[in-house]
Amino acid sequence: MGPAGREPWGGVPGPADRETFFAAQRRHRRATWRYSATCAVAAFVLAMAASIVLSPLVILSSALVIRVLSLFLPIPEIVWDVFRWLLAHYGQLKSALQDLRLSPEEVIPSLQGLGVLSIPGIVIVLLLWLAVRALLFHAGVGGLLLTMGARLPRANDREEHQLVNVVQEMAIAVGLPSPTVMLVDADVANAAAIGSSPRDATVVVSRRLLDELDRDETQGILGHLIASIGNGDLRILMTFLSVAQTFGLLMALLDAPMSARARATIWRLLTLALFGWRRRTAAGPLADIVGTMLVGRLDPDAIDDTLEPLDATDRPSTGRLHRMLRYLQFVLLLPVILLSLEGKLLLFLFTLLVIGPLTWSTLRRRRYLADATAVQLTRNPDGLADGLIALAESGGDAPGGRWAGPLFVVGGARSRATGLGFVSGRPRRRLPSPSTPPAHHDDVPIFLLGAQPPLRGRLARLRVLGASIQPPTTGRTDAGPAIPTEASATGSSSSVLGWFLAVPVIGVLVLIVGALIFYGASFILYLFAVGFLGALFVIAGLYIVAMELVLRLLSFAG
Amino acid sequence: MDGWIIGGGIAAIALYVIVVYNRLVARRNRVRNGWSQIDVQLKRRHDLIPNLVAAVQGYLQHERAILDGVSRARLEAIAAGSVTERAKAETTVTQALRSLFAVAEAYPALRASENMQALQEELSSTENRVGFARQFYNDAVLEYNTARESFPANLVARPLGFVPAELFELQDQTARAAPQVRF
Repeated sequence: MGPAGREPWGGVPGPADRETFFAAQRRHRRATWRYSATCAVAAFVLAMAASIVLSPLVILSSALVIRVLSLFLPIPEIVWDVFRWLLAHYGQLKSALQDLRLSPEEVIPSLQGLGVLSIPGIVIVLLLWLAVRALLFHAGVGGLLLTMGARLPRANDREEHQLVNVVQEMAIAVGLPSPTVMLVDADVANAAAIGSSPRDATVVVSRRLLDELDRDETQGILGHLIASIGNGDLRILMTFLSVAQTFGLLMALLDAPMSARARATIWRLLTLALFGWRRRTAAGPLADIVGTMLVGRLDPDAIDDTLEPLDATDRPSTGRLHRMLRYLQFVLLLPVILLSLEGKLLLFLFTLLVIGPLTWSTLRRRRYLADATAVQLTRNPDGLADGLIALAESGGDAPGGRWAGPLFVVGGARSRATGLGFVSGRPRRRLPSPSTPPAHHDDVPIFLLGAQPPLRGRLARLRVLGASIQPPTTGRTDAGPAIPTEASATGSSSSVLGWFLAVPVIGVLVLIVGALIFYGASFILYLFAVGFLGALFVIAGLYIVAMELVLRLLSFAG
Repeated sequence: MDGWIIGGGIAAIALYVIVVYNRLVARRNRVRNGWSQIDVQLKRRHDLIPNLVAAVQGYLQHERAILDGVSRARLEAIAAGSVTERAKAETTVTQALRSLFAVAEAYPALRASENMQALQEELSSTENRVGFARQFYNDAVLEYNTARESFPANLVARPLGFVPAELFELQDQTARAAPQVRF
């Protein structure tokens, strides 16, 4: 390289950025640690929410086990010390709850008591999260590819060859080794970047996207995906999905006493984690399991699993004895059912109010960032903008990939519907939409609800970056095909509202049962007066029930 | 006491020199990586040109001048040495290719042939790759030169053996590339 003797501004290609591309990329990759830490905090909050129901159960069952073991084996003194310590804290909590008049000096000790008692539950959920995360990082990518039915590009197909060219071009621009390209023959147009690190990333593109979008638009979309890989988004997304899967696992655990399907899912996950996870064939079973866990259990309408014992009585083929047994089973399980519903409700509340806003804002910001990086690389905001407009109509959840929604470049019906009506600056030819709308539910699982930014926001930002697109006028002339799931979207939100209203009813019911056992009528009257705080008193009732049983079991009362 | 201060000062300077050296090495290696990437893509283009010439020879028998121009530009580009020379030679190749494609537009039989379409896609992809590789390289050069010329790193850069890097500039003079289409 010869000497430089000329002024740097005489013919420097590209804009003279104050920050070079590499410095920006380094900054974004450093920030991923911060964002992954956010997901860890989210996992901790989830653990706290779950431990409210889990801790008493864990303490109770371990006390049971210890009691049984103590009949055969000598138990080391430290175990008894741990229980004594837990029960001491319970004592503080109990005295505070008994008079229901918390004097100022009693607040701190009783909160401390509650905190200490929650520790077993928190620890267990965090361990579960780490296990799920390890499993997902190891076999999640392969599993997703399997369930989506991804294939390698065909050598003789010109469009698929062009796709591989486009991906390699963008990889050169970002400075990464070219990711593997795989295709999915689906009816929806979407694309995803999956993997656990930029070195071994895979890009999955649906065939419909290739057919619908022209070269510039495909380049914009793939530029977005590869830019997000370069910025280090893969790690954040996988960590987020691991928290989502832990959520699904907790839901399955809450359903386990009632639902055979939940028990089967948990059993398969257990055998996979203990015996099968190192094998290369772990991918398929894992994907099936996480697909069922996350997708099947989160819709507030679908408490079918919880009420499975009752459902069985509806079938006309069951004999009378069978039906009587089923009713009996339902009655015996009723407290467990109520507890499970209460636990689910708590988890929903925490997700919607705390965990969701915490993590979804992170994911959205990274999507906007990937959009901007793609424009910076290609110098062509129109390509990406037009591609997103096309995906607004023909996009959707790829079959088999619903549980990994945040990995895709556009999200479900709700986020895409905001992008309808935008008009691209260039005339486009569009494929006719299929005569029947694609047959998928498109209800986004509650944990992934806000993970994709609304298309309207992304297109507005691209307009600022220079894309020549027009926002929709108030009277939408380009009506477009009606997204059939708008109604169901509002439907599920109203059922969430129903859950909110159900809180006091359930809470009061469960606590009546607990209070009747221990404290007598006057307590109940007092509780009725403060019935709207039912959930909090359920917590107290749960702890009281469990710890009293522990006391009796381990005969520490004396 | 004075000994400690002087020793500490020397240690601090040595540490700083080490840090600057590593930083410059990292950036210089990125520049070299970027250059080799451009090299790969330019070579890819050189390898595609004979296929292109062979494919269009049958159709463009009356355009020998343009075909010869492309082949000649290719040979010069392969033979070029320094960064500036290569930049100039590659610009010539780009212009020659552009005039060839402009002329080919007038032959519908050629345009429709599958072979030609595949070659066109390959060449256009290669142009894009060269463009992106150039962008990457120039960004790397910018970062390296900035790091090298900042104070106080510029004091130690030359003694340590870091020379400035050159930007890879392809002059994009479309006016000159207007083809002469004969009827």
